Amino acid sequence: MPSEHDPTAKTSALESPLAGLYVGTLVVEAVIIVLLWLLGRMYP
Amino acid sequence: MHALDWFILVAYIVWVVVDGVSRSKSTHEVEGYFLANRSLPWWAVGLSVMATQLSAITLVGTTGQAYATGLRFIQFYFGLPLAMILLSLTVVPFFHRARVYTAYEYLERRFDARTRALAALLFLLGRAFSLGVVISAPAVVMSAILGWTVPTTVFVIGLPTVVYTSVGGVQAVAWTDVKQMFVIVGGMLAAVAVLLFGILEDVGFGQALSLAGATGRLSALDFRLDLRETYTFWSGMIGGLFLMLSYFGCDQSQVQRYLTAKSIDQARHSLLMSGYVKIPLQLLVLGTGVLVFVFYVFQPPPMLFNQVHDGRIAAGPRATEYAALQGEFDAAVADRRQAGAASDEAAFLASDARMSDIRARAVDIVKDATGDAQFTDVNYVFPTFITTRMPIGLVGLMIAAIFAAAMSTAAGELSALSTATVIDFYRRHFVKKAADSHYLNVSKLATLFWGLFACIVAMYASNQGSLIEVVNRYGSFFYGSLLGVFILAILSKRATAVGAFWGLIAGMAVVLVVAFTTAIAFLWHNLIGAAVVVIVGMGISVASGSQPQARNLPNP
Repeated sequence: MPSEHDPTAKTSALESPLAGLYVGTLVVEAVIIVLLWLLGRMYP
Repeated sequence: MHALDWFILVAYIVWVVVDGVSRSKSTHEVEGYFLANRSLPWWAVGLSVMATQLSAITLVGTTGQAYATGLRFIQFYFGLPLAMILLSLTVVPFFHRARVYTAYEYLERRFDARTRALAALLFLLGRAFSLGVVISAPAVVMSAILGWTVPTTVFVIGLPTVVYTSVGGVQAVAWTDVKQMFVIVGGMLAAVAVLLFGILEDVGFGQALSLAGATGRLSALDFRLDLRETYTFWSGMIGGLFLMLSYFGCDQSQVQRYLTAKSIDQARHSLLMSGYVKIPLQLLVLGTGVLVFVFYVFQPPPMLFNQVHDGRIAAGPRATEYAALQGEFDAAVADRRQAGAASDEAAFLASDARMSDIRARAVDIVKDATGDAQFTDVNYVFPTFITTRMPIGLVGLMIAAIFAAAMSTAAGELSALSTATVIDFYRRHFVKKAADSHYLNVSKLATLFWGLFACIVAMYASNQGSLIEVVNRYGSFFYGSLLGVFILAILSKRATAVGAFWGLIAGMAVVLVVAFTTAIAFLWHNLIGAAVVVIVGMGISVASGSQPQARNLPNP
């Protein structure tokens, strides 16, 4: 059983194909927030 | 309810139990029972993660909250996508590579048994009472809607859940969650369809949005920098980030979900699924509440959505006063409908305000008659709409969806409580070397114990306002502090066991003081707790001058 920290996870994950998914989730959220803002402006 | 609706509800509960029990085939060893042999695909884990988090409180309380105040609650989830990314980068690979059964098992390897025991104890206490609320909240509402007693409803939710969780283990929990998510989402989409069909008979979609917007229900974003304001963009983005990091990273009910994944990447995918889907899903729920509001502009709403109280007051000593209120309410309803149809915003808002005032007076009568000073009507809005306005068949589906949401959350929490009890206490401190069959039997007993405990708590828990807020307020007492300990464990090599333990104590103490002596909104408590733990923990670690040591845990 490992008994020390594993410091490599962060670096390997950022280099993996998952990086696109990470960015994508933030983009989707940003789009939703913008749409909500527009909704509030259109129907105040 | 129609016989078909009862049939659908009963058939659903039977199906869930039978399917869950059938999953016991691969649960004869500890790893199979607690972690499904780490064999589940990412999409099943992802759906289980979402089902565990989406309780009946979301379906019942959040829709009611949206009916009353609109979309603002969506801000609560703004921190979730970033939290999923951070957890995928840090905690998920740590826990998977450590081959732990519980999140707290890792704390002993990093610090000591005392810190592990304290963190696990906080989890058990907090989660057990939270589970009681998770069962109680929908049970109180559904008992009024279905005409059952509260204890009956509590056991209809609790007993099948205990059965398939104890027999089938986490395999049963996860695969049942998958099915329940389809029932929940399907039910919500059916509700939206019924609402839109009803609304569009009277008014166009654009006009419907205008009516909702006129009362502020479409203003989802609040950019004020006010720490006392509960739901703002900042409290959701920052405070909510810490709440989500703690809940999905340090709470065993979620950690156990993604520990069942086949690999680290599969576990990451399962969390990212929530990152993509959770906010749109929550908008579906909140949007349903807003649509219910618009629906009731053109269809007469009840003055009180809790029809049990409505009937009692109308037949009680204050019947005359209540009848007069009802008359005023009916007149205001007609005026609002007329103003809405004519797009007369000023008249619409005036009559809507009159209706709110009359409803508040009706609620005051209920409070006075029942002695329940905390009574609120909002949690009965959506269930009342379901049982009085939805077609036969869909009523049964929606009630099944509400029960599905309650059971999926309860199952995840029960499984986690059982796991932490056995792994972090029983096997760690009492019976250290026994056969897997022994620990499995103890786990089943632990599931039964916590299930009964939660049902007893549920029967005595009282209605305390918006259900979704109650659960999250309780969680914010300790989530932030637990997150702080894991931050020390994973991100700091200098933190020592002494620092982590006393930092955790300090974090909890500060949050309690802040919660009871200030008006700071509860979402910020998570950030405060985490910060105090990290600061105090690091301070004690550095001041004590002792070298942090990585500890080896004897293979239990």
